[in-house]
Amino acid sequence: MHHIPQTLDEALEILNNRHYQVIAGGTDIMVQYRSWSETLPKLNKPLLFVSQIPELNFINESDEFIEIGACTTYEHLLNSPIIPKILKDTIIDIAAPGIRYVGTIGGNIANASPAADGVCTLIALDALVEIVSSETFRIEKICDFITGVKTTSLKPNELIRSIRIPNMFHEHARFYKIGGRKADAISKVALASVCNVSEGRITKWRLAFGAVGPKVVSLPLIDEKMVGKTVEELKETIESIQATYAPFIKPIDDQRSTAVYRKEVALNLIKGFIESL
Amino acid sequence: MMIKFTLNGQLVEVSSDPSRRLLDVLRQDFSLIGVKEGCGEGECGACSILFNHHVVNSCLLPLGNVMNQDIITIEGFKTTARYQAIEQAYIDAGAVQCGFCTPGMVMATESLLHLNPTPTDAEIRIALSGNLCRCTGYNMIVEAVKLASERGKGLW
Ligand SMILES: Cc1cc2nc3c(=O)[nH]c(=O)nc-3n(C[C@H](O)[C@H](O)[C@H](O)COP(=O)(O)OP(=O)(O)OC[C@H]3O[C@@H](n4cnc5c(N)ncnc54)[C@H](O)[C@@H]3O)c2cc1C
Ligand code: FES
Ligand code: FES
Repeated sequence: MHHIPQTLDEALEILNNRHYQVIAGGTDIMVQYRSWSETLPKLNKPLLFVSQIPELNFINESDEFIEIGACTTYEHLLNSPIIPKILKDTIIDIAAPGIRYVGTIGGNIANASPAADGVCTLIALDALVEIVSSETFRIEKICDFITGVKTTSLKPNELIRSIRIPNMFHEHARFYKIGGRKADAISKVALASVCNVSEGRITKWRLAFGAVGPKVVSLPLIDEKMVGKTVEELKETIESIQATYAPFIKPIDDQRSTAVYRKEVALNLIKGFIESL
Repeated sequence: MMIKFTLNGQLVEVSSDPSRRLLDVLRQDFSLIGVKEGCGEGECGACSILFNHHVVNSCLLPLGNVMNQDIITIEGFKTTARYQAIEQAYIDAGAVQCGFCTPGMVMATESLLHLNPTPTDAEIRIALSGNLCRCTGYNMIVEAVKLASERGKGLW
């Protein structure tokens, strides 16, 4: 039996009783489980509809965080004055207006595609997910929450309640997406890049690569090595910076692109970002 | 499960499986066959409808997500002055050939003009970016939207 709960508590209670396929906007689920025309999607679990739950639809700002309810749609994010520009730039590149009106940020994360554009930018922004069940509450970094190709640490009785983005200004924050067509194209390669500079030196550096590994690739240990350098130093050592990231960029061949192309483009995007500083 | 929603201005109740695609509910249960199925996976826009007056792909919309919401199809929109303006503009710009994409294009056009009555070329192209047309080459459709926007002053 499918369920359309009206409140978060009701949804979490239902999830305690048996396994459900959670569905928000449905833009991933309805494609993944689609069957023949005019027939029902081929699901292996009943659906739990969460998109209309009020407690999952909100955008708040505190000094520390910008907090976004899991079921907030791309359209709402685009229209909100408190959403960082890099996230809006990313959303503009996701799908088309019809999908952005129903597709949710929580769905993008829980779906855990290595090519998820929203995930890429949220990881570069050091965002966290808040995960709830009827009894528990935990907070995890998005890069840890996503464990592999389409897998996450979410348990069957849990929901993502919200996403928290540290509320800070970034001097340089860019999202680059390479896809087959301007709209409605899944990324062949994507890079979300964030950098802060103070008194000529890098104080923060984050790169997150989409579609070049089993999950979005984020390498905080390498990122940290850029901290303390001057922008000029980065510009003079572009090749060696590319070489430090290169071993961890391990794309595959698939219907959308080839491994060789993806790797070369990913490395060129690093160069493009450094040159833009 | 009983699902209530507003369809073309009237409150309707459907007793059906909430995982069903709205596309199928509209075509099968309500005979609203202006809503077309092209790809069935969100890529072509032939199935576009207005969901709370914003264009959405009905092939990706499960009935459960439509509960208590407002749905307009090309058939419901046809009775409005805005539709008349868009229809005439599409005719005059030569924006219709086989017509398969047209109901979806019209829905995307209305969704745009409703929010932004005087869009730029770039805004028009973004607004139509989820709708494929295999016949016209798009320029005529962009012209049609501009024409509708100019002639329909005051309608949006
Ligand atoms: C034509 C097309 C183009 C697309 N283009 C892009 C693109 O350019 N970039 C991109 O990144 N994506 C793209 N997508 C994918 C998709 O639109 C996004 O991933 C979207 O954000 C998914 O959100 P949703 O609410 O529709 O997810 P759903 O399909 O409802 O759910 C997706 C997954 O998330 C889970 N889930 C949803 N909400 C919660 C929650 N609160 N708690 C726990 N689990 C939850 C579901 O169980 C499911 O596993 C595209 C899809 C289509 C059809
Ligand atoms: S049939 Fe829905 S987008 Fe193609
Ligand atoms: S007129 Fe034939 S698909 Fe657009």
